[in-house]
Amino acid sequence: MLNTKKFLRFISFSTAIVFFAGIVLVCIAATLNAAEQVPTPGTIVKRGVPWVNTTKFKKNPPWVIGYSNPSLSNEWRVYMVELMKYYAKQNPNLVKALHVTDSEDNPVKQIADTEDLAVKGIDILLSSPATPAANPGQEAVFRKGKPVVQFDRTGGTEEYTCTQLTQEVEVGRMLTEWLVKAIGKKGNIVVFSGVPGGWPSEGRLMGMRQVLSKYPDVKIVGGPVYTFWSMATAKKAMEDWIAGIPKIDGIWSDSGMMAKPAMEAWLEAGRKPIPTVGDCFNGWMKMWKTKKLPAYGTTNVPLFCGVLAMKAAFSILSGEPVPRSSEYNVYEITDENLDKWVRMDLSDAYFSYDSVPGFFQAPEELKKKLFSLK
Amino acid sequence: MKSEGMTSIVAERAQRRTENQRNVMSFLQAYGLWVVIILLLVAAAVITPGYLKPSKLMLLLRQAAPLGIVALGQLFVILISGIDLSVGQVMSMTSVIASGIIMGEQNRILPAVAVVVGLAAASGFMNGIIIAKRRVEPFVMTLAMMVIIQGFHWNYSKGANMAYVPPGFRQLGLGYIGPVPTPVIIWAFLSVVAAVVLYRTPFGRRIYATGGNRVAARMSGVSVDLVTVIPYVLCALSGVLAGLISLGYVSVGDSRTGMGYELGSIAAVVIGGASLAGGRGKISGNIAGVLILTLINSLLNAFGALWFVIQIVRGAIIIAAVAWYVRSRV
Repeated sequence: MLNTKKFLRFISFSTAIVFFAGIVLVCIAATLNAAEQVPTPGTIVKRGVPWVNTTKFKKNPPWVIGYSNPSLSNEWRVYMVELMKYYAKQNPNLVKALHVTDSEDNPVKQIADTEDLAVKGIDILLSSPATPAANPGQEAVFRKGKPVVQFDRTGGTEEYTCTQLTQEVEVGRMLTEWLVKAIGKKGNIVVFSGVPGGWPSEGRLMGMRQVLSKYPDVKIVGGPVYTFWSMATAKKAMEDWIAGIPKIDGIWSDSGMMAKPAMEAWLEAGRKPIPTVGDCFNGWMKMWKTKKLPAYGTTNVPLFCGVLAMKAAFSILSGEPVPRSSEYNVYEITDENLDKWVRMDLSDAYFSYDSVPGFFQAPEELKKKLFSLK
Repeated sequence: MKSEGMTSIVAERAQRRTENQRNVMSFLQAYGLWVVIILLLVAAAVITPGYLKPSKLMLLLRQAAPLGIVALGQLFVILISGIDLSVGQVMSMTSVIASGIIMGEQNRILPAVAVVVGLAAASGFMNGIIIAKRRVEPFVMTLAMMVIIQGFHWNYSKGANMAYVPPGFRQLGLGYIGPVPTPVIIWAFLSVVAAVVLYRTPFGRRIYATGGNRVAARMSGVSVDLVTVIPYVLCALSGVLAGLISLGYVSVGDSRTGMGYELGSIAAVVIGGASLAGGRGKISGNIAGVLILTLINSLLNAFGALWFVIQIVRGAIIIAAVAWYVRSRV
């Protein structure tokens, strides 16, 4: 006859063993996964972001990598691609070929470029959509089963393996918070931006507007003017504002490429410097240092973002898990640490957020080759 | 009798009204652009009193000067029923290559200028000779040249340009001769020279003849091919000069210098009354077209108008100008 008490004791004991064994196994699995789940250096992964299992993409190296580049229309992008090529050369056993396109900021052309890359037989696509209109190219490659690393900018699509982005909205917030405090939380500011519809420009403006909504006494009296990163356009707009707007207390620019000519126009008009924000564009930082301007900057999109995208590509093609999304670290540039960022021996075109300590150092010979003053 | 008298008075009044209307139309046709400029300046003065200070007006003219110089070259091309889409990239090429050669050294200015003048003249010559001899459509030829020049200066700089020019060079873009900015003096001088060439020289008459009726011009003994080549070379050289002035203005080479100047110069020429079919156009109209475009852009910027609004207004002005000239010629 079955002893009920003994039976119940057995069931309880077994259940407890299974339960605790399960906990132990889950902890071990988490520990093992945690050991593999290392964010790419130079990026942060927010809590709760899932990691993507990439074992189905595993393939023996060397690999063919394609980068659908929105444009080479400015010095930043050119340097970024050169760093990617340098990194590819440093890893010849991993990279068979690196194909980079240039869609000249045209999303329709970028779709065609992405299709061309797919035809070339790439193993992985790196993608920076010019605008959301360029998404179909990336989506088509992803739907065909190829892994996609979306980085530097987003078109709003979810069809990618992993994404690495600048905290554009946070950049906009940081710049605006400093500027608002610098002008005493009230006054008139003028605003410069880059390319309309592009996420770097629109994201930063979004951050700006979020902060300004808390300070009703700070008014935008000029712009945003989209300069397409042209210094002459920025300078002309500033001259027009100086002529037509009686009082300007601060200059908001998401790039030193506009902050520099704007401040130049301001000083040529015989005005005293006013608080201005920008980024790690060397021409702007040199002016900031030599003229001792009241200024502030952020590091915006890192020049090594293409290198990080390639690092993620290596992980994916090796079957290692990658975070679904990660973000680049953003640093402040202030009077106190300006000397760490500015390079007086290099030309204006240099952007100084180009290295990750301990992981990737932009080669000095490449900097001299591209940005030498002589 | 009384009714006949009434009828003749009414008829007289109608006739006088028609004559007045014709006079007004003639006046507007001749001076309409300048009326628009004056109205814009009056509006600016009312809304922003400080806008009409002489120093501010000089700044406005300085902003207009590069476009004005390019528009002069573009006018010559349009007069012979051509078009030059490559002039904007000539400006950018000038900015990049000149600054790359100068690299902050005063003694490298002349060699740099010689190089960019040579390159631009070659591109203008290629445009002109292929259009003249091979009968390639000017739109297609100059579009292709635009792409070639862009690739050329990007390859030269690898996109990482922004070399410096010395302070002396900056006088070209920022200097003054008396109270007048140097670029404005240059623009005024070139406008006078262009007017003399077009209105007082046989070459000028040949330009109008070729643009008016190419076949008749050829049969009259005009060397139509030569008359086709020279304006393209002049247009390219105007791009070089505008590029050098812009380089002095911002002090560093910039591959975006000429952005929008090809379409801006065409718009200025068209607003100024020139016909894209060729054979019609005046220097004074050209200057007025440049001033209107610059004034609209500057005023809307000064008043804080959104970028998109400025683009729409510019497009609307071009349509209005073209529609006006087509109507007045019918």
